[in-house]
Amino acid sequence: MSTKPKVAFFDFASCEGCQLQIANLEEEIIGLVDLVDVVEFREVMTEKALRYDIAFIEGSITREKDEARLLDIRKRSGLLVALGACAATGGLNKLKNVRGNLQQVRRDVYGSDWDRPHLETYATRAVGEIVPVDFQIHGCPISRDEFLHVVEAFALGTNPEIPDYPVCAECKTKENVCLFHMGQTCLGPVVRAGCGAICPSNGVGCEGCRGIIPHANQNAMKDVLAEHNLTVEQITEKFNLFPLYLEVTP
Amino acid sequence: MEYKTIGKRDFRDFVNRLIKGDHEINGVVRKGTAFVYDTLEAASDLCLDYDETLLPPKKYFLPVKETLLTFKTGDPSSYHESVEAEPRVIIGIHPWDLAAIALLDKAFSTGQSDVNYLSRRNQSLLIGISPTRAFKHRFSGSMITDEYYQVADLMLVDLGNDTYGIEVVSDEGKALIQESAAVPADEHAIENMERRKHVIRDEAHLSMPKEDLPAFLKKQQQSKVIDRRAERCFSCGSCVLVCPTCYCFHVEEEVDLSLQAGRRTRTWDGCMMEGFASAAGGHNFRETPANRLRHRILRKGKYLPEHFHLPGCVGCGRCARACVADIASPLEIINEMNRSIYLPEVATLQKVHVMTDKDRFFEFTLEGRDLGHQPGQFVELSIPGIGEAPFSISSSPTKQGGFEMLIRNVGKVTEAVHRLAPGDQVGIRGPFGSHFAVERYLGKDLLFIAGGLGLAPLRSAINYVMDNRENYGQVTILSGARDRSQRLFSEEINEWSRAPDTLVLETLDQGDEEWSGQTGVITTLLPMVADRITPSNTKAFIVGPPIMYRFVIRELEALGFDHKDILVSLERRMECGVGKCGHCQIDDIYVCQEGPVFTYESIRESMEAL
Amino acid sequence: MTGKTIRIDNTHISRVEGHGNIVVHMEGDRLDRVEWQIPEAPRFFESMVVGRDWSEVSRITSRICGICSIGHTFASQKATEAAMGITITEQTRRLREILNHAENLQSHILHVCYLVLPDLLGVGSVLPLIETHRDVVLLAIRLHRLANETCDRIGGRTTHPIRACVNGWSMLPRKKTLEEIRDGHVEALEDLKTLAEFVQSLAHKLPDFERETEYVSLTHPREYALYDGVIKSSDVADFIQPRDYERVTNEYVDDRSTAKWTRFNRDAYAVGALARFNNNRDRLSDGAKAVAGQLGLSAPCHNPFMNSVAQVVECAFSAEKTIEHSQWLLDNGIKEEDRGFAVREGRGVGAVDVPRGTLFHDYTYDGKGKCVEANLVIPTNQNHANIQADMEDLVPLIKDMPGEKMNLTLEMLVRAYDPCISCSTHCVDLRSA
Repeated sequence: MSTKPKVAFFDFASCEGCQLQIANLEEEIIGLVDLVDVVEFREVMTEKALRYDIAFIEGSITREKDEARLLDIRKRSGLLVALGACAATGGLNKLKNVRGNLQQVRRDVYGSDWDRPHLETYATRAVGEIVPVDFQIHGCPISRDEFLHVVEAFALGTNPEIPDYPVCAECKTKENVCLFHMGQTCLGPVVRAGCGAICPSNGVGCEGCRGIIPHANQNAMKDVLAEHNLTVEQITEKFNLFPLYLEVTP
Repeated sequence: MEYKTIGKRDFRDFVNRLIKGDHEINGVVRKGTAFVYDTLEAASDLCLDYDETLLPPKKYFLPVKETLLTFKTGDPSSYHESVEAEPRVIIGIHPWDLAAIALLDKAFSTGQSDVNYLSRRNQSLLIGISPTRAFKHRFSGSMITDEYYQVADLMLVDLGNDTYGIEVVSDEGKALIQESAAVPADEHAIENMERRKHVIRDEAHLSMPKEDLPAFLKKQQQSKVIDRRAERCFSCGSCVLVCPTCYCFHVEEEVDLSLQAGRRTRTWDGCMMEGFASAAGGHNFRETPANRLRHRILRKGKYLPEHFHLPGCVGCGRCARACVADIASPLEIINEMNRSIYLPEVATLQKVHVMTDKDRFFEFTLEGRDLGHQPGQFVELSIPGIGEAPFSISSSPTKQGGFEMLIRNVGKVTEAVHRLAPGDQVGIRGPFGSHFAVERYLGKDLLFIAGGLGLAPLRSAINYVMDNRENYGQVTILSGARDRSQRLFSEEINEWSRAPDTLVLETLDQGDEEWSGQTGVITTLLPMVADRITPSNTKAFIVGPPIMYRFVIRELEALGFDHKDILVSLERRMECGVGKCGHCQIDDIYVCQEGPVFTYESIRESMEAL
Repeated sequence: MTGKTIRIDNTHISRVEGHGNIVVHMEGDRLDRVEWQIPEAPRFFESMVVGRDWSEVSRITSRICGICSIGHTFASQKATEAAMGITITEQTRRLREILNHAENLQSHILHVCYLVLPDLLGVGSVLPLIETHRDVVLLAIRLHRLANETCDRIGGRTTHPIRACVNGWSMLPRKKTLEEIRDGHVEALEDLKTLAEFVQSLAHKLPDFERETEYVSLTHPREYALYDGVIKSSDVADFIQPRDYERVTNEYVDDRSTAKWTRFNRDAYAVGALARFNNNRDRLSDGAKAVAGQLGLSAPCHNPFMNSVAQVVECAFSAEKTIEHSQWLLDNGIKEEDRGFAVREGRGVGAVDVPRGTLFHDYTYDGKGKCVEANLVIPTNQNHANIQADMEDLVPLIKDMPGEKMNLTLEMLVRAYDPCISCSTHCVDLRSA
């Protein structure tokens, strides 16, 4: 791209923590706006634009009217990038799907008001389940370094590369003591690296926020967790905190 | 070789003086409950009494990530070498890690020299130490001898009385230790050193001389040992990333945020990770975990030693510790491959229990290991001079201690088995065969149908389920015997029926006045449980006399069972147990290998199976 | 002027967290519609925590908000601790205080400098200020980075803090880290002074609007309450225990909003920095009081636009408290502590004053430690009705402004509250039917 790429940020059902990581770039924000033209970013600026070279989408799709807004953004964007777990895989928002009966979920929350029209919801979907996505930036929240790598790659006109291998590789090179050896459990062996194994590095087992790797050995993971005295209920709960396998009930 | 001794306090002073100098001083330090190599701020940080570090010292010569070249974007003439090295002393390296460095030295200097590695390496002095602690995964005694002398500058030995013995190996080492208060060692100290070098022994050993490994591994390329272990492999790369003799790396480029400049870097990589042999265009030249594990073992045991004439695996045991799936140890893999398929192990009879006029119940223990079987598998039992015969294992793998079998007196071997008393020994080979994979059916309902002696192998699966009861749904057990005198495991049947959401129904072909339960063939029990069972969520396991299968399966089909959800165990005449002697064949398969447990779906079309 | 039609349909206003709409329809002097609408997609967090193990609950509720993930984590953990009868150690509390103050600083700097300042300088975002007011932007970034780094070093990660656990920490900071945190905040006091001066120079641009309302916040006998306290309302003499929060919040569903609204002694009440300042000004640190004086902020202040100014005051307070708590931990030494406790059934409420106001988490657990009921009341929920009431009073006063300026003033009103709209639409109220 010979001129600065026009970049925009949008959010759907999310906590906005991934967009916050852009603000958390601190001094590198200045380098970023030298590299790209931020033309729309509702959280931080008032200006808007009609067309974008790269649109970053944070958040999941949980209502029909959100679909329309997303389709419109897709039409006006060159590349569309899912920003964070909620957009890339549905993230925690898909826990609502696991619970099963959505009508009951709505009653639980809003009581007798549950079916007022403005309170509609449907089974959470990732952005890629509604529109074609050109790249997924994983994590809850995203890694700022990975975000910059993606932007740099697109600005150079190449494809960004992110790990397809498990978190364990990062724990080993960081010389972390394996949490399994400390009486804890961890989903690292089946979850995508790229976060620097940040949770195990801080003493907490990987929860799977970056999603499952291709060809993950899910059977071995369940076996290993059972060998560490987790019940099948506990194992299932670990796998559906972030959607590592989906139990979707419309 | 010169020998010296130094008091530990003097040694610490020596290290503190080094730290104050212009070299970077690294050594083994504590990290929580573990040990790592790190920069020393003071000699008191140093911990030379350790089992094993998380990463080997190769990280100082081949950093996890390093810059090879810098560049200005878009300008190929701007590529510029980047070599960073500083003089350092590394203190506390175990002999096998030094042997690994000898291998890496060769790898990076043979042919075209790797200036990044060598410039770091050539400015480093290495102070090794003989081990002072055992490490349960270590088997270096089987893999190295004295290769470490090729790279050590000084070798320490903890003499125990607050003193280190020192072997002054190189001239650089000699110059270095001259700065200390070390004194020449006397004869007594030298003897002591020799002894204490070998005081820590490995807990495990390779079952062949390491020189035989290359030829042995060449013939093991199809070994099932690899495939079985690879089923549990996560391709996480842990084994290769912590390995002192691994040095594969990934080269890539990165740019600054300005996009104007960047660098070409290399980062540790490993053949056990999925993408390692993947080429652009999508083809992966080592696509399965089994392929990758096979390559790793061959490389460590054959390719590296043949190429460099140095151990390719030094037996440090880090991979075995690092592997969450517990499959990585080259020692375990090679020893398992090497286990003679025909040679029995000794097992001791612990208990005998008379069950019926023809059946006895036996508990055996192997020496030093659990049988490690799965429910549904069988062993071959030998009595020297009499013969060998196959028997299903009746105990669950969750049972601690030994394993159990129910044996009916019907022939030459079984008659001899029935004459055994506790304390007697037999030969055991195995376990063999496929199994009832209950560990995969978590959350499912289970239906066990046992005809007569069939309850013995089913008991293995049932007790496994009972020991993990909350992991399964509803359990139904149907058991049929000829008459009351032939009932097996009656007490346990009672226990099973008291488990949550578990129903046990029995029937006898022939009742009597004291029998208040059901009479009739086993199929008569099925209508009684039809309402309770949800075939789409149930796995059915059937073991019994040959005639039973067809009838029971027909009933299950009528209930709506899918053929893949029905499992049977087929008995055939098994002798070798390893798919060679030919006696157990059904159609084109060997029951001892593909069976004895089959899904009905896989044998439905067979002429010979049922 | 009669006959003038004003239509403001400001959808998804910018520079606030989450999606909110301002709608004003006026025909001459007749106010047809003044609405603060919340169309944000609800995420149904209660359906996420019910049925989950106690050890996961705060990790889930942390994801209600990216900016106040630390506040949610602590309110959640306090509720679990209250339910199970756990008392945390002084060390744990002090570390939580540091993390809470760091979040306060990070959030307020983001709000004041990145979201509000552009309005006072007549630009659409902080980006053009990089050229025109580079020093101020770099100062803001410096403070923001200090706060975030403090969160990273104590909590493991600034957004969704990993190390924070029920009854303790998965990892403790090292002595050197605490020294650096302390020293970093000592240096920052200088920057905060400069920031206060800069804000003071622009304070005249804040609209001069007053509407007295009820102010609700936590309060504490010894200090300006943020992490701990009981509930105080400016309308009520007695304090209310956090476990009785529902007497205060009284949530209800309004058709204009996917977020629920609240009311106590009036139709609306306010929470946040201004409410805290009004309720607890005397318990600020001396340095913070000085900043308040410098900025002309005195209690009680009924101008909602001054919430941002109150936030600057709190920045100084949080920096000073961070220095104090770091020093205490250094003096006492950091010790490994056992986080274990006996799981039991029970119900507990955790209340924390996070950057935007008072946050309540309320959980009930069964004997196995599974969450069976949950309710959360978010600060911004409690502000929605007040924003509505403010708008209804403000619009007649500004109806003669040019349309652009009127729109901007209304946006500035909403922005002043620093709303966290997606938080407020988590919607949690699961009681057994």
